[in-house]
Amino acid sequence: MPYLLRGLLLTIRLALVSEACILAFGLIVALLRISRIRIFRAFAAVYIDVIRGMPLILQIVIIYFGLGHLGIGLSKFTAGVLALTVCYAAYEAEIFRAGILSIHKGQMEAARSLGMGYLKAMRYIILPQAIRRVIPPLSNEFIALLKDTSLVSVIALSEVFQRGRELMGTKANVTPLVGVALCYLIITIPLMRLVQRTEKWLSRGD
Amino acid sequence: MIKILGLRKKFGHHEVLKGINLEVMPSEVLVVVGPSGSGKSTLLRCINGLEHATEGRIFIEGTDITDSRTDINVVRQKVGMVFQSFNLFPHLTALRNVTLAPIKVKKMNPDEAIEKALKLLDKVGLRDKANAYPAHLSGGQQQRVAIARALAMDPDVMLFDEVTSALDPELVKEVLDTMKDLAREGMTMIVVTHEMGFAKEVGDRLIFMDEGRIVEEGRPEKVFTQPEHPRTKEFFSKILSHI
Amino acid sequence: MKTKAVGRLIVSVAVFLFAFLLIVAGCGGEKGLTIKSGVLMMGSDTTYPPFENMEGGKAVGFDVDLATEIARRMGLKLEVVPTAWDGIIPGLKTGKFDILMSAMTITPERAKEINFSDPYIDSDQSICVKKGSPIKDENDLKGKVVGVQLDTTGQFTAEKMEGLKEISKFDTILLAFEALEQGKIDAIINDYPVNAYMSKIRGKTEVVKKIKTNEKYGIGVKKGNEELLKKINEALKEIKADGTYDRIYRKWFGQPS
Ligand SMILES: Nc1ncnc2c1ncn2[C@@H]1O[C@H](COP(=O)(O)OP(=O)(O)OP(=O)(O)O)[C@@H](O)[C@H]1O
Ligand SMILES: [Mg+2]
Repeated sequence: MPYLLRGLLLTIRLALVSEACILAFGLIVALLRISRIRIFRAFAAVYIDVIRGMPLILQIVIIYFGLGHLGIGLSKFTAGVLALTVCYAAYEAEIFRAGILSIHKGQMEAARSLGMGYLKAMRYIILPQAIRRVIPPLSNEFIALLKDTSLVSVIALSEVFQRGRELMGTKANVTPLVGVALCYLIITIPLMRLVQRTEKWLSRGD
Repeated sequence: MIKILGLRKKFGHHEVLKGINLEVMPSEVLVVVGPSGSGKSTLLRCINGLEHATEGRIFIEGTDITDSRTDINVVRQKVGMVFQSFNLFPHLTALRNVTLAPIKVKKMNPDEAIEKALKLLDKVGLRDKANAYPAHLSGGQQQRVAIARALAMDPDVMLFDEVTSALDPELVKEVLDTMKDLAREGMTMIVVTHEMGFAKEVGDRLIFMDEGRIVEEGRPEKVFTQPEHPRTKEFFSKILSHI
Repeated sequence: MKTKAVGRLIVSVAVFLFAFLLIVAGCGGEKGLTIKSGVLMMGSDTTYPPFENMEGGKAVGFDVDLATEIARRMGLKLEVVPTAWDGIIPGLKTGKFDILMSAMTITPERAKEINFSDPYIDSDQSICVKKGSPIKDENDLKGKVVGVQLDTTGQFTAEKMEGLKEISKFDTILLAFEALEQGKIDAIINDYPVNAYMSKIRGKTEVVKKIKTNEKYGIGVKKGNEELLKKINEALKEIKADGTYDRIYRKWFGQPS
């Protein structure tokens, strides 16, 4: 069991580091997606479509082995984080975008009429409101991300799922898999509860 | 103070403003009246750059805001705007609504901004609501905070777009009173409204708009009592019969 | 009225599900020597040349040829079921295929779970590195990253070494070679015949050290299926005796056994 738990630590580390990058990058992509500058919009739209149209495991292998062929050598951890970021940012960008667009346009106009530039208005007026609205869907994405870190075992990252499969092979029975399932569940179930609570709490303000 | 020359505005093929010429003097209170869709809001929105003029020029204290070299954010600091739907920032307290722009745009020292905001809230009669969030304020209170918020930038002119139309009748007066005070202090104001009492009492001049044009202009009582243009006559007879 | 309709719906869905289960279960229902009559199903992780790998959609390799021969002598047709390595013993135990033949070393741990046939080939471990690497033997591996295939005797050998920086466990040995060639890992520890074969066909790596472990590969059969095991051992003995084994060996390893 401690062997699995150490794998779980790596899983959590992967998820947290990736999530930080995803939030930042996803927000940037969302802003590009709604920008008034056409190439930015086009770039973001293509990015979102291409990434969402491909399986994550393929992206992981491309980033680790594919980039390696082009002479870009990334460590397993970096490649894992990068692949998860690239993939999830595309989904979270769409969530951010929907959140931003859900803010009444009168808010932007009021901010602009006070002399705030577009970026200031975004930063102080639109985003603080939008972020509140996207917390629940983003939390659900985080739960999905945590589970999808299991796919990085394909590049030999020894996270909890890989360790479970390894023990299954050596022990040749199913108990390690039950252990892995428990490892995920002790994290995901409390998270799901938390999301439900935050959802309720946030909707009280409306 | 404000000078508008040959202003035209098109949305696609739909021409909403068809050549507006208008001058507003310092401390003047200009009332804008007209049927729905006549272009009143669009005119105000052009004056503070929320809409781009398709043709024509708009000078604010000598600065041509239709010139692409003009920094519209600087112009907007001189032009305060109050909206029909208040548009307070719901995630900020009344006080923060008022202090945000002075601090972030004018780089005013926060203590100074708070002091000033409290004075303005006092002026609109809401000092005790400084820490309330918009959701906990009545419509009239929200609109008065919105006025304080615009005033915090020390504008030279204030634009009001049907600021009482979304309010329950018993809340209209408190907002109009605030505007009257402002007028008395010598603020230059352009007010789109259907409140004829207010127009008569405070308005220096009234323009009547129809289908993107100014069809009649004059002292408010005069336009009310002896309208010349047939459209104006029709409009006021309808409105007055409602009262 | 309405509740009655709902009740009918539930009943019909239940009947349908039951019928479906019967049909599905019926497929594997009959009791014979093998799961599918006339066919010998072989679970194999087909990513392990020259023992088993996919070529143009077909499984090929030493194990495949040997198994085909065994099946033929039992009057059966061979069918290879490509299976991920970590699921291969569970697959055999749960009846996904009749035999397991996948360059699997006979170990006491595995023998607790499944039965093994008589050994059909000897194997040892080896260290494989990128050409020109300064690594020559186990001592040079201290502080290095070693790649293995998950759950193989290569991994177990590496785990017994001291001072390794890390053991990178890949799902297939092909991915480990990809990583080795790209310099992402310093060495691979894996079965000698595979390391030698991969180095020969891909040309970027070399085997620098053979590590004697006296491993022997066996064919796995589910515990309790003694009859099948007996027949396989008989066929294997025949194949070895009449020279067929040597022919297959030479085909894949280019030298007599
Ligand atoms: N962003 C826009 N895009 C297209 N058409 C618009 C836009 N904004 C306004 N219009 C049109 O311009 C015309 C004038 O609108 P405007 O809001 O200026 O009228 P208004 O006089 O303020 O009317 P109301 O009394 O209803 O507020 C209307 O026909 C309206 O549909
Ligand atoms: Mg309007």
